[in-house]
Amino acid sequence: MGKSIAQALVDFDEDFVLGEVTNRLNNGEEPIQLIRELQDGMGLIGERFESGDYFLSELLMSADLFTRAMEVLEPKLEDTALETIGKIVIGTPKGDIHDIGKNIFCTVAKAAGFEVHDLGVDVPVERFLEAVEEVKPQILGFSALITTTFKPMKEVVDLLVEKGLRENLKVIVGGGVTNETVKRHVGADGQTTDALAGLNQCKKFVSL
Amino acid sequence: MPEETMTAWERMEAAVKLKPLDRIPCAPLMDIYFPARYKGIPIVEAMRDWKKGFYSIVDIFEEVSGWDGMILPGYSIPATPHVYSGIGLGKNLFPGLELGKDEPVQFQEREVLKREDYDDIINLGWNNFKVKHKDRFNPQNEERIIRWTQRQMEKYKYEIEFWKTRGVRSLCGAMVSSPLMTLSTSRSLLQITKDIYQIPDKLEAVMEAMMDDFISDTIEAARISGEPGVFLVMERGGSFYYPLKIYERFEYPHMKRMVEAFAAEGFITVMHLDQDYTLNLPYFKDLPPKMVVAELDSCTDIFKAKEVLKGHMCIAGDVPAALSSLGTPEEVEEYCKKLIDVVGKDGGFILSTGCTCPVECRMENFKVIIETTRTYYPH
Repeated sequence: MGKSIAQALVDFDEDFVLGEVTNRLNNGEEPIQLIRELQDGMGLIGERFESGDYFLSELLMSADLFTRAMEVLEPKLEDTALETIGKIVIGTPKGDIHDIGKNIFCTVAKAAGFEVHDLGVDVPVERFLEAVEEVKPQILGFSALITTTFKPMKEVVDLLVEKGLRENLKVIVGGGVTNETVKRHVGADGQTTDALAGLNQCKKFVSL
Repeated sequence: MPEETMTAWERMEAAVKLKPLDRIPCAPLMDIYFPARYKGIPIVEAMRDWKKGFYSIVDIFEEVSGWDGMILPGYSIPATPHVYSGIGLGKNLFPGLELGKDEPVQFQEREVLKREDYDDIINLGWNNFKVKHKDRFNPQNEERIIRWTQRQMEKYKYEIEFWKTRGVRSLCGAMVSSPLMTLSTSRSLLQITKDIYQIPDKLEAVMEAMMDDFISDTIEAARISGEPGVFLVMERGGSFYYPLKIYERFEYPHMKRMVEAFAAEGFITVMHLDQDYTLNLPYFKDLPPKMVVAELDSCTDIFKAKEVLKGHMCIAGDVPAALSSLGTPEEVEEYCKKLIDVVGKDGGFILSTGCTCPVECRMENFKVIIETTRTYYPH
Protein backbone atom coordinates (compact mmCIF):
# COMPACT_ATOMS: atom_id res chain seq x y z
CA MET A 1 0.00 0.00 0.00
CA GLY A 2 1.32 3.44 -0.94
CA LYS A 3 1.94 6.38 1.31
CA SER A 4 -1.11 8.23 2.62
CA ILE A 5 -1.62 11.97 2.44
CA ALA A 6 -1.80 12.05 6.22
CA GLN A 7 1.56 10.31 6.59
CA ALA A 8 3.14 12.48 3.89
CA LEU A 9 1.99 15.57 5.79
CA VAL A 10 3.58 14.18 8.96
CA ASP A 11 6.83 13.71 6.95
CA PHE A 12 6.55 17.22 5.36
CA ASP A 13 6.72 15.52 1.94
CA GLU A 14 5.36 18.47 0.03
CA ASP A 15 5.89 16.99 -3.44
CA PHE A 16 3.78 13.99 -2.47
CA VAL A 17 1.06 15.94 -0.62
CA LEU A 18 0.55 18.60 -3.29
CA GLY A 19 0.96 16.09 -6.14
CA GLU A 20 -1.49 13.60 -4.63
CA VAL A 21 -4.08 16.29 -3.87
CA THR A 22 -3.89 17.63 -7.42
CA ASN A 23 -3.93 14.17 -9.07
CA ARG A 24 -6.83 12.84 -7.06
CA LEU A 25 -8.83 16.02 -7.62
CA ASN A 26 -8.19 15.72 -11.34
CA ASN A 27 -9.39 12.12 -11.15
CA GLY A 28 -12.71 13.36 -9.83
CA GLU A 29 -12.29 12.66 -6.15
CA GLU A 30 -14.35 14.77 -3.75
CA PRO A 31 -12.30 17.60 -2.18
CA ILE A 32 -14.00 16.97 1.13
CA GLN A 33 -12.41 13.49 1.32
CA LEU A 34 -8.96 14.94 0.67
CA ILE A 35 -9.52 17.59 3.33
CA ARG A 36 -10.42 14.87 5.84
CA GLU A 37 -7.14 13.07 5.05
CA LEU A 38 -5.18 16.29 5.54
CA GLN A 39 -7.01 16.85 8.82
CA ASP A 40 -6.04 13.33 9.90
CA GLY A 41 -2.41 14.23 9.17
CA MET A 42 -2.65 17.39 11.29
CA GLY A 43 -4.17 15.27 14.04
CA LEU A 44 -1.14 12.94 13.95
CA ILE A 45 1.19 15.93 14.04
CA GLY A 46 -0.71 17.25 17.06
CA GLU A 47 -0.23 13.93 18.84
CA ARG A 48 3.51 13.99 18.14
CA PHE A 49 3.75 17.59 19.35
CA GLU A 50 1.91 16.81 22.56
CA SER A 51 4.12 13.80 23.24
CA GLY A 52 7.24 15.94 22.78
CA ASP A 53 8.40 14.18 19.59
CA TYR A 54 7.64 17.19 17.42
CA PHE A 55 8.53 20.82 18.12
CA LEU A 56 7.19 24.14 16.88
CA SER A 57 9.35 23.86 13.75
CA GLU A 58 7.53 20.69 12.71
CA LEU A 59 4.18 22.27 13.48
CA LEU A 60 5.15 25.29 11.40
CA MET A 61 6.24 23.14 8.44
CA SER A 62 3.11 20.99 8.48
CA ALA A 63 0.80 23.98 8.99
CA ASP A 64 2.35 25.65 5.94
CA LEU A 65 1.91 22.51 3.85
CA PHE A 66 -1.68 22.04 5.08
CA THR A 67 -2.47 25.67 4.13
CA ARG A 68 -0.98 25.23 0.65
CA ALA A 69 -2.95 22.03 0.07
CA MET A 70 -6.13 23.77 1.26
CA GLU A 71 -5.48 26.58 -1.23
CA VAL A 72 -5.75 23.95 -3.96
CA LEU A 73 -8.87 22.34 -2.47
CA GLU A 74 -10.99 25.23 -1.20
CA PRO A 75 -11.86 26.68 -4.64
CA LYS A 76 -13.16 23.23 -5.63
CA LEU A 77 -15.52 22.97 -2.68
CA GLU A 78 -18.15 25.05 -4.50
CA ASP A 79 -21.32 24.76 -2.43
CA THR A 80 -20.09 21.97 -0.18
CA ALA A 81 -20.11 23.28 3.35
CA LEU A 82 -17.38 21.98 5.64
CA GLU A 83 -18.61 20.57 8.92
CA THR A 84 -17.49 22.85 11.68
CA ILE A 85 -17.25 22.37 15.41
CA GLY A 86 -17.44 26.04 16.31
CA LYS A 87 -16.52 29.56 15.28
CA ILE A 88 -13.46 31.48 16.42
CA VAL A 89 -12.74 35.16 15.85
CA ILE A 90 -9.07 35.92 16.40
CA GLY A 91 -6.60 38.77 15.94
CA THR A 92 -3.47 40.45 17.22
CA PRO A 93 -4.63 43.61 19.04
CA LYS A 94 -3.77 47.19 18.14
CA GLY A 95 -0.14 48.04 18.77
CA ASP A 96 1.25 44.58 17.95
CA ILE A 97 2.09 43.29 14.48
CA HIS A 98 3.34 39.80 15.40
CA ASP A 99 1.52 36.89 13.82
CA ILE A 100 3.63 33.70 13.70
CA GLY A 101 1.90 32.09 16.67
CA LYS A 102 -1.53 33.31 15.60
CA ASN A 103 -1.12 31.91 12.11
CA ILE A 104 -0.07 28.51 13.41
CA PHE A 105 -3.02 28.47 15.80
CA CYS A 106 -5.43 29.42 12.98
CA THR A 107 -4.19 26.53 10.85
CA VAL A 108 -4.42 23.90 13.59
CA ALA A 109 -7.85 25.22 14.58
CA LYS A 110 -9.07 25.01 10.95
CA ALA A 111 -7.61 21.53 10.64
CA ALA A 112 -9.50 20.53 13.79
CA GLY A 113 -12.77 21.72 12.26
CA PHE A 114 -13.20 25.25 13.59
CA GLU A 115 -14.43 28.03 11.34
CA VAL A 116 -11.72 30.63 11.91
CA HIS A 117 -12.17 34.34 11.24
CA ASP A 118 -8.68 35.83 11.36
CA LEU A 119 -8.77 39.62 11.67
CA GLY A 120 -5.00 39.94 11.16
CA VAL A 121 -2.60 42.10 13.17
CA ASP A 122 -2.78 45.57 14.73
CA VAL A 123 -6.56 45.12 15.05
CA PRO A 124 -8.46 48.06 16.61
CA VAL A 125 -10.81 47.47 19.54
CA GLU A 126 -13.87 48.37 17.44
CA ARG A 127 -13.01 45.76 14.79
CA PHE A 128 -13.04 42.97 17.39
CA LEU A 129 -16.47 44.13 18.56
CA GLU A 130 -17.85 44.34 15.02
CA ALA A 131 -16.56 40.86 14.23
CA VAL A 132 -18.12 39.36 17.36
CA GLU A 133 -21.46 40.95 16.42
CA GLU A 134 -21.23 39.83 12.78
CA VAL A 135 -19.84 36.31 13.16
CA LYS A 136 -21.36 35.41 16.54
CA PRO A 137 -18.46 33.12 17.46
CA GLN A 138 -18.30 30.84 20.49
CA ILE A 139 -14.67 31.90 21.03
CA LEU A 140 -12.75 35.16 20.78
CA GLY A 141 -8.97 34.82 20.67
CA PHE A 142 -6.29 37.46 21.22
CA SER A 143 -2.72 36.79 20.14
CA ALA A 144 -0.12 38.97 21.88
CA LEU A 145 3.65 39.23 21.97
CA ILE A 146 4.14 42.64 23.55
CA THR A 147 2.73 44.37 26.62
CA THR A 148 1.03 47.15 24.66
CA THR A 149 -1.75 44.66 23.90
CA PHE A 150 -2.89 44.40 27.53
CA LYS A 151 -4.94 47.59 27.44
CA PRO A 152 -6.83 46.97 24.16
CA MET A 153 -7.57 43.34 25.10
CA LYS A 154 -9.14 44.47 28.35
CA GLU A 155 -11.04 47.24 26.56
CA VAL A 156 -12.57 44.74 24.13
CA VAL A 157 -13.71 42.43 26.93
CA ASP A 158 -15.08 45.31 29.03
CA LEU A 159 -17.06 46.59 26.03
CA LEU A 160 -18.36 43.09 25.29
CA VAL A 161 -19.67 42.93 28.87
CA GLU A 162 -21.20 46.40 28.50
CA LYS A 163 -22.94 45.41 25.28
CA GLY A 164 -24.20 42.14 26.72
CA LEU A 165 -22.11 40.08 24.29
CA ARG A 166 -19.79 38.41 26.79
CA GLU A 167 -22.13 35.89 28.37
CA ASN A 168 -22.10 33.17 25.70
CA LEU A 169 -18.60 33.91 24.48
CA LYS A 170 -15.36 32.34 25.68
CA VAL A 171 -12.24 34.51 25.51
CA ILE A 172 -8.72 33.12 25.23
CA VAL A 173 -5.41 35.02 25.27
CA GLY A 174 -2.29 33.51 23.74
CA GLY A 175 1.31 34.42 23.04
CA GLY A 176 4.70 34.77 24.65
CA VAL A 177 3.85 37.74 26.85
CA THR A 178 0.68 36.23 28.30
CA ASN A 179 0.30 34.35 31.57
CA GLU A 180 -2.26 33.91 34.33
CA THR A 181 -1.80 37.56 35.37
CA VAL A 182 -2.70 38.70 31.86
CA LYS A 183 -5.66 36.31 31.73
CA ARG A 184 -7.01 37.78 34.97
CA HIS A 185 -6.39 41.37 33.88
CA VAL A 186 -8.15 40.91 30.55
CA GLY A 187 -10.99 38.90 32.08
CA ALA A 188 -10.37 35.93 29.79
CA ASP A 189 -11.45 32.31 30.25
CA GLY A 190 -8.29 30.73 28.90
CA GLN A 191 -4.60 31.42 28.28
CA THR A 192 -1.84 29.65 26.41
CA THR A 193 1.63 30.04 24.95
CA ASP A 194 1.24 26.88 22.87
CA ALA A 195 -0.99 26.61 19.78
CA LEU A 196 -2.10 23.04 20.43
CA ALA A 197 -2.76 23.58 24.14
CA GLY A 198 -4.83 26.58 23.03
CA LEU A 199 -6.71 24.39 20.57
CA ASN A 200 -7.49 21.88 23.31
CA GLN A 201 -8.89 24.68 25.48
CA CYS A 202 -11.03 25.82 22.55
CA LYS A 203 -12.35 22.28 22.07
CA LYS A 204 -13.34 22.22 25.73
CA PHE A 205 -15.04 25.60 25.33
CA VAL A 206 -17.33 24.08 22.69
CA SER A 207 -17.70 20.96 24.87
CA LEU A 208 -15.95 18.45 22.64
CA MET B 1 19.03 44.70 55.38
CA PRO B 2 22.36 43.50 53.96
CA GLU B 3 25.44 45.58 54.76
CA GLU B 4 26.99 46.88 51.55
CA THR B 5 30.74 46.25 51.38
CA MET B 6 31.22 46.28 47.61
CA THR B 7 30.95 48.94 44.91
CA ALA B 8 28.29 48.42 42.26
CA TRP B 9 30.81 47.18 39.73
CA GLU B 10 32.61 44.91 42.19
CA ARG B 11 29.21 43.35 42.88
CA MET B 12 28.47 42.85 39.17
CA GLU B 13 31.91 41.35 38.54
CA ALA B 14 31.61 39.06 41.53
CA ALA B 15 28.22 37.82 40.29
CA VAL B 16 29.63 37.03 36.83
CA LYS B 17 32.70 35.32 38.30
CA LEU B 18 30.59 33.39 40.84
CA LYS B 19 32.41 34.96 43.80
CA PRO B 20 30.89 35.80 47.21
CA LEU B 21 28.56 38.81 47.22
CA ASP B 22 27.45 41.34 49.85
CA ARG B 23 24.02 41.25 48.17
CA ILE B 24 22.50 40.38 44.78
CA PRO B 25 23.18 43.05 42.12
CA CYS B 26 20.41 44.52 39.99
CA ALA B 27 20.92 45.37 36.31
CA PRO B 28 17.72 45.96 34.35
CA LEU B 29 17.87 45.54 30.59
CA MET B 30 16.78 49.04 29.77
CA ASP B 31 15.90 50.90 26.62
CA ILE B 32 13.93 54.11 26.21
CA TYR B 33 10.37 52.75 26.02
CA PHE B 34 9.48 52.48 29.70
CA PRO B 35 11.39 55.65 30.72
CA ALA B 36 9.87 57.70 27.89
CA ARG B 37 6.34 56.46 28.65
CA TYR B 38 6.84 57.20 32.36
CA LYS B 39 8.15 60.67 31.60
CA GLY B 40 5.25 61.37 29.23
CA ILE B 41 7.53 61.71 26.21
CA PRO B 42 6.08 60.16 23.03
CA ILE B 43 8.36 57.33 21.92
CA VAL B 44 8.83 58.94 18.49
CA GLU B 45 10.22 62.05 20.21
CA ALA B 46 12.51 60.04 22.49
CA MET B 47 13.91 58.26 19.43
CA ARG B 48 14.36 61.34 17.25
CA ASP B 49 15.92 63.39 20.03
CA TRP B 50 18.67 61.09 21.27
CA LYS B 51 19.53 63.17 24.35
CA LYS B 52 15.89 63.34 25.42
CA GLY B 53 15.63 59.56 25.07
CA PHE B 54 18.87 58.74 26.82
CA TYR B 55 18.24 61.18 29.68
CA SER B 56 14.80 59.69 30.27
CA ILE B 57 16.71 56.51 31.26
CA VAL B 58 19.02 58.59 33.44
CA ASP B 59 16.03 60.26 35.13
CA ILE B 60 14.61 56.86 36.06
CA PHE B 61 18.03 55.84 37.38
CA GLU B 62 18.13 58.94 39.59
CA GLU B 63 14.54 58.55 40.75
CA VAL B 64 15.16 55.01 42.07
CA SER B 65 18.57 56.01 43.54
CA GLY B 66 20.40 53.95 40.96
CA TRP B 67 21.08 50.31 40.27
CA ASP B 68 24.27 48.25 40.03
CA GLY B 69 24.94 47.90 36.33
CA MET B 70 23.67 48.12 32.78
CA ILE B 71 23.39 45.10 30.50
CA LEU B 72 23.74 47.47 27.53
CA PRO B 73 24.49 51.17 28.00
CA GLY B 74 21.41 52.63 26.41
CA TYR B 75 19.83 52.47 23.03
CA SER B 76 22.41 53.54 20.51
CA ILE B 77 23.64 50.71 18.35
CA PRO B 78 27.17 49.49 19.00
CA ALA B 79 29.14 49.74 15.79
CA THR B 80 32.62 49.52 14.37
CA PRO B 81 34.17 51.96 11.88
CA HIS B 82 33.12 49.63 9.06
CA VAL B 83 30.56 51.35 6.90
CA TYR B 84 27.80 48.80 7.20
CA SER B 85 28.53 47.39 10.62
CA GLY B 86 25.44 48.84 12.28
CA ILE B 87 23.05 47.86 9.54
CA GLY B 88 21.10 44.65 9.87
CA LEU B 89 19.01 43.00 7.21
CA GLY B 90 15.75 42.52 9.10
CA LYS B 91 12.88 44.96 8.65
CA ASN B 92 11.76 47.08 11.61
CA LEU B 93 8.69 49.28 11.75
CA PHE B 94 9.14 52.64 13.49
CA PRO B 95 6.89 54.92 15.56
CA GLY B 96 5.79 57.97 13.63
CA LEU B 97 6.36 56.17 10.35
CA GLU B 98 4.65 52.81 10.04
CA LEU B 99 3.45 52.77 13.67
CA GLY B 100 1.67 55.16 16.02
CA LYS B 101 3.82 57.90 17.59
CA ASP B 102 3.89 56.29 21.02
CA GLU B 103 4.44 52.67 20.02
CA PRO B 104 7.73 50.78 20.41
CA VAL B 105 9.73 49.71 17.37
CA GLN B 106 8.52 46.35 16.11
CA PHE B 107 10.23 43.71 14.03
CA GLN B 108 8.37 42.74 10.88
CA GLU B 109 8.68 39.09 9.91
CA ARG B 110 9.60 39.29 6.23
CA GLU B 111 11.75 37.43 3.74
CA VAL B 112 14.41 40.06 3.07
CA LEU B 113 17.14 37.56 2.31
CA LYS B 114 16.36 34.93 -0.35
CA ARG B 115 17.52 31.36 -0.70
CA GLU B 116 19.20 32.48 -3.95
CA ASP B 117 21.49 34.71 -1.86
CA TYR B 118 23.14 31.77 -0.16
CA ASP B 119 25.77 31.14 -2.85
CA ASP B 120 26.92 34.75 -2.64
CA ILE B 121 27.27 34.55 1.14
CA ILE B 122 29.26 31.31 0.83
CA ASN B 123 31.56 32.80 -1.82
CA LEU B 124 31.97 36.32 -0.44
CA GLY B 125 31.58 36.04 3.32
CA TRP B 126 29.03 38.06 5.27
CA ASN B 127 30.49 41.58 5.11
CA ASN B 128 31.35 41.46 1.42
CA PHE B 129 27.90 40.07 0.71
CA LYS B 130 26.34 43.06 2.50
CA VAL B 131 28.57 45.48 0.58
CA LYS B 132 27.70 43.86 -2.76
CA HIS B 133 23.96 44.10 -2.07
CA LYS B 134 23.99 47.33 -0.06
CA ASP B 135 21.47 49.14 -2.28
CA ARG B 136 18.99 46.33 -1.81
CA PHE B 137 19.26 46.32 1.97
CA ASN B 138 19.84 50.04 2.49
CA PRO B 139 19.19 52.36 -0.43
CA GLN B 140 20.76 55.40 1.27
CA ASN B 141 24.03 56.68 -0.17
CA GLU B 142 27.34 55.64 1.34
CA GLU B 143 28.24 59.08 2.68
CA ARG B 144 25.01 59.20 4.70
CA ILE B 145 25.56 55.72 6.06
CA ILE B 146 29.13 56.64 7.12
CA ARG B 147 27.83 59.75 8.91
CA TRP B 148 25.12 57.68 10.61
CA THR B 149 27.65 55.08 11.74
CA GLN B 150 29.97 57.78 13.11
CA ARG B 151 27.12 59.42 14.99
CA GLN B 152 26.06 56.08 16.46
CA MET B 153 29.59 55.45 17.69
CA GLU B 154 29.83 58.88 19.27
CA LYS B 155 26.51 58.47 21.07
CA TYR B 156 27.40 54.96 22.17
CA LYS B 157 30.72 56.07 23.64
CA TYR B 158 28.97 58.96 25.37
CA GLU B 159 26.45 56.58 26.97
CA ILE B 160 29.23 54.25 28.19
CA GLU B 161 31.26 57.11 29.66
CA PHE B 162 28.19 58.71 31.19
CA TRP B 163 27.35 55.65 33.29
CA LYS B 164 30.87 55.60 34.69
CA THR B 165 30.20 59.06 36.15
CA ARG B 166 27.29 57.49 38.03
CA GLY B 167 29.42 54.65 39.36
CA VAL B 168 27.96 51.94 37.14
CA ARG B 169 29.21 50.20 34.03
CA SER B 170 27.66 48.28 31.21
CA LEU B 171 28.38 44.56 31.07
CA CYS B 172 28.33 44.63 27.28
CA GLY B 173 29.98 46.93 24.78
CA ALA B 174 29.19 44.97 21.63
CA MET B 175 26.17 43.19 20.27
CA VAL B 176 25.83 40.35 17.80
CA SER B 177 23.25 37.71 16.88
CA SER B 178 24.01 34.08 16.24
CA PRO B 179 24.06 33.08 12.53
CA LEU B 180 20.76 31.20 12.98
CA MET B 181 19.12 34.21 14.64
CA THR B 182 20.43 36.53 11.91
CA LEU B 183 19.24 34.28 9.10
CA SER B 184 15.90 33.56 10.76
CA THR B 185 15.08 37.23 11.17
CA SER B 186 16.14 38.07 7.63
CA ARG B 187 14.69 34.96 5.92
CA SER B 188 11.61 34.59 8.24
CA LEU B 189 11.04 31.74 10.65
CA LEU B 190 9.13 29.67 8.10
CA GLN B 191 11.70 30.00 5.31
CA ILE B 192 14.72 29.29 7.52
CA THR B 193 12.92 26.26 8.91
CA LYS B 194 12.33 25.01 5.38
CA ASP B 195 16.02 25.55 4.67
CA ILE B 196 16.92 23.48 7.73
CA TYR B 197 14.82 20.57 6.52
CA GLN B 198 15.32 20.92 2.76
CA ILE B 199 18.89 22.19 2.21
CA PRO B 200 20.73 21.50 5.50
CA ASP B 201 24.22 21.17 4.00
CA LYS B 202 24.02 24.45 2.14
CA LEU B 203 22.63 26.24 5.20
CA GLU B 204 25.48 24.91 7.28
CA ALA B 205 27.95 26.23 4.70
CA VAL B 206 26.26 29.65 4.80
CA MET B 207 26.55 29.80 8.58
CA GLU B 208 30.18 28.76 8.37
CA ALA B 209 30.85 31.57 5.87
CA MET B 210 29.34 34.12 8.28
CA MET B 211 31.39 33.17 11.30
CA ASP B 212 34.74 34.94 10.76
CA ASP B 213 33.16 38.34 10.12
CA PHE B 214 30.74 37.94 13.00
CA ILE B 215 33.53 37.14 15.43
CA SER B 216 36.11 39.69 14.29
CA ASP B 217 33.60 42.57 14.00
CA THR B 218 32.21 41.86 17.45
CA ILE B 219 35.62 41.71 19.06
CA GLU B 220 36.54 44.98 17.38
CA ALA B 221 33.33 46.66 18.61
CA ALA B 222 33.92 45.34 22.14
CA ARG B 223 37.49 46.64 22.14
CA ILE B 224 36.34 50.09 20.98
CA SER B 225 33.76 50.21 23.74
CA GLY B 226 36.21 49.30 26.48
CA GLU B 227 33.47 47.29 28.20
CA PRO B 228 33.99 43.70 29.33
CA GLY B 229 31.37 41.80 27.40
CA VAL B 230 29.44 40.93 24.28
CA PHE B 231 25.65 40.75 24.05
CA LEU B 232 24.85 37.63 22.01
CA VAL B 233 21.24 37.62 20.85
CA MET B 234 19.59 34.23 20.48
CA GLU B 235 15.90 33.49 20.38
CA ARG B 236 15.15 31.42 17.35
CA GLY B 237 17.40 28.43 18.02
CA GLY B 238 16.16 27.11 21.36
CA SER B 239 13.89 24.27 22.34
CA PHE B 240 10.78 26.42 22.02
CA TYR B 241 11.27 26.22 18.25
CA TYR B 242 13.53 23.31 17.39
CA PRO B 243 14.35 19.78 18.51
CA LEU B 244 17.78 19.25 20.02
CA LYS B 245 19.19 17.55 16.91
CA ILE B 246 18.61 20.80 15.00
CA TYR B 247 20.02 22.88 17.86
CA GLU B 248 23.12 20.68 17.88
CA ARG B 249 23.79 21.32 14.22
CA PHE B 250 22.53 24.83 13.45
CA GLU B 251 22.87 26.85 16.66
CA TYR B 252 25.07 25.32 19.31
CA PRO B 253 28.37 24.88 17.36
CA HIS B 254 28.34 28.49 16.13
CA MET B 255 27.29 29.89 19.47
CA LYS B 256 30.02 27.90 21.20
CA ARG B 257 32.70 29.05 18.78
CA MET B 258 31.65 32.66 19.22
CA VAL B 259 31.64 32.45 23.01
CA GLU B 260 35.05 30.73 23.01
CA ALA B 261 36.51 33.31 20.61
CA PHE B 262 35.26 36.17 22.80
CA ALA B 263 36.56 34.46 25.93
CA ALA B 264 39.98 33.98 24.31
CA GLU B 265 40.12 37.78 23.95
CA GLY B 266 39.04 38.22 27.57
CA PHE B 267 35.42 39.17 26.85
CA ILE B 268 32.52 37.67 28.72
CA THR B 269 29.34 36.82 26.78
CA VAL B 270 25.84 37.72 27.92
CA MET B 271 23.62 35.22 26.12
CA HIS B 272 20.32 37.01 25.54
CA LEU B 273 18.03 33.99 25.52
CA ASP B 274 14.49 34.93 24.62
CA GLN B 275 11.88 32.17 24.60
CA ASP B 276 12.24 28.77 26.22
CA TYR B 277 15.77 27.31 26.37
CA THR B 278 15.10 24.90 29.23
CA LEU B 279 16.00 21.77 27.24
CA ASN B 280 19.17 23.45 25.94
CA LEU B 281 20.56 24.28 29.39
CA PRO B 282 22.83 21.21 29.76
CA TYR B 283 24.78 22.26 26.63
CA PHE B 284 25.81 25.51 28.33
CA LYS B 285 27.94 23.56 30.80
CA ASP B 286 30.38 23.03 27.96
CA LEU B 287 30.99 26.78 27.56
CA PRO B 288 33.99 28.50 29.23
CA PRO B 289 33.29 28.63 33.00
CA LYS B 290 32.66 32.00 34.66
CA MET B 291 32.82 33.76 31.26
CA VAL B 292 29.13 33.61 30.33
CA VAL B 293 25.88 35.06 31.67
CA ALA B 294 22.63 33.30 30.75
CA GLU B 295 20.16 36.17 30.53
CA LEU B 296 16.60 34.80 30.63
CA ASP B 297 13.24 36.38 29.81
CA SER B 298 10.96 34.23 32.04
CA CYS B 299 10.12 31.69 29.31
CA THR B 300 13.06 29.45 30.31
CA ASP B 301 12.64 27.82 33.74
CA ILE B 302 15.13 29.98 35.68
CA PHE B 303 15.00 27.67 38.71
CA LYS B 304 15.93 24.71 36.54
CA ALA B 305 18.69 26.87 35.04
CA LYS B 306 20.15 27.38 38.52
CA GLU B 307 20.04 23.66 39.18
CA VAL B 308 21.86 22.87 35.91
CA LEU B 309 24.31 25.78 35.68
CA LYS B 310 25.18 26.30 39.35
CA GLY B 311 28.92 26.78 39.81
CA HIS B 312 29.45 27.19 36.06
CA MET B 313 27.87 30.43 34.88
CA CYS B 314 25.99 33.45 36.15
CA ILE B 315 22.24 33.75 35.50
CA ALA B 316 20.43 37.05 34.94
CA GLY B 317 16.70 37.68 34.85
CA ASP B 318 13.82 37.30 34.82
CA VAL B 319 10.93 39.38 36.23
CA PRO B 320 8.17 38.64 33.68
CA ALA B 321 6.94 41.56 31.57
CA ALA B 322 3.35 40.73 32.51
CA LEU B 323 4.17 40.84 36.21
CA SER B 324 6.00 44.18 36.12
CA SER B 325 3.23 45.63 33.92
CA LEU B 326 0.13 44.25 35.62
CA GLY B 327 1.14 42.81 38.98
CA THR B 328 0.95 44.52 42.36
CA PRO B 329 4.15 45.67 44.13
CA GLU B 330 3.56 42.88 46.68
CA GLU B 331 3.46 40.25 43.89
CA VAL B 332 6.61 41.66 42.30
CA GLU B 333 8.41 41.69 45.66
CA GLU B 334 7.38 38.11 46.36
CA TYR B 335 8.73 36.96 42.97
CA CYS B 336 12.00 38.92 43.36
CA LYS B 337 12.53 37.39 46.81
CA LYS B 338 11.95 33.91 45.42
CA LEU B 339 14.56 34.60 42.72
CA ILE B 340 17.04 35.82 45.35
CA ASP B 341 16.27 32.87 47.64
CA VAL B 342 16.69 30.18 44.99
CA VAL B 343 18.66 31.52 42.02
CA GLY B 344 20.70 33.89 44.19
CA LYS B 345 21.84 31.18 46.61
CA ASP B 346 25.66 30.95 46.49
CA GLY B 347 25.81 34.01 44.21
CA GLY B 348 26.05 33.86 40.43
CA PHE B 349 22.85 35.83 39.93
CA ILE B 350 21.94 39.29 38.66
CA LEU B 351 18.34 40.35 39.20
CA SER B 352 17.01 41.82 35.97
CA THR B 353 13.92 42.41 33.93
CA GLY B 354 12.66 39.54 31.72
CA CYS B 355 13.91 40.80 28.34
CA THR B 356 13.83 44.57 28.13
CA CYS B 357 11.92 46.53 30.75
CA PRO B 358 8.45 46.64 29.17
CA VAL B 359 6.90 49.90 28.02
CA GLU B 360 3.87 49.25 30.25
CA CYS B 361 5.98 48.61 33.39
CA ARG B 362 4.53 50.30 36.47
CA MET B 363 6.98 52.61 38.23
CA GLU B 364 5.98 51.26 41.64
CA ASN B 365 6.85 47.75 40.44
CA PHE B 366 10.13 48.88 38.93
CA LYS B 367 11.08 50.50 42.25
CA VAL B 368 10.31 47.23 44.04
CA ILE B 369 12.65 45.29 41.70
CA ILE B 370 15.50 47.69 42.50
CA GLU B 371 14.68 48.01 46.19
CA THR B 372 14.40 44.27 46.88
CA THR B 373 18.05 43.73 45.95
CA ARG B 374 19.05 46.45 48.44
CA THR B 375 16.95 45.18 51.31
CA TYR B 376 16.81 41.41 50.94
CA TYR B 377 19.72 38.97 51.02
CA PRO B 378 19.13 35.98 53.28
CA HIS B 379 22.25 34.01 52.31
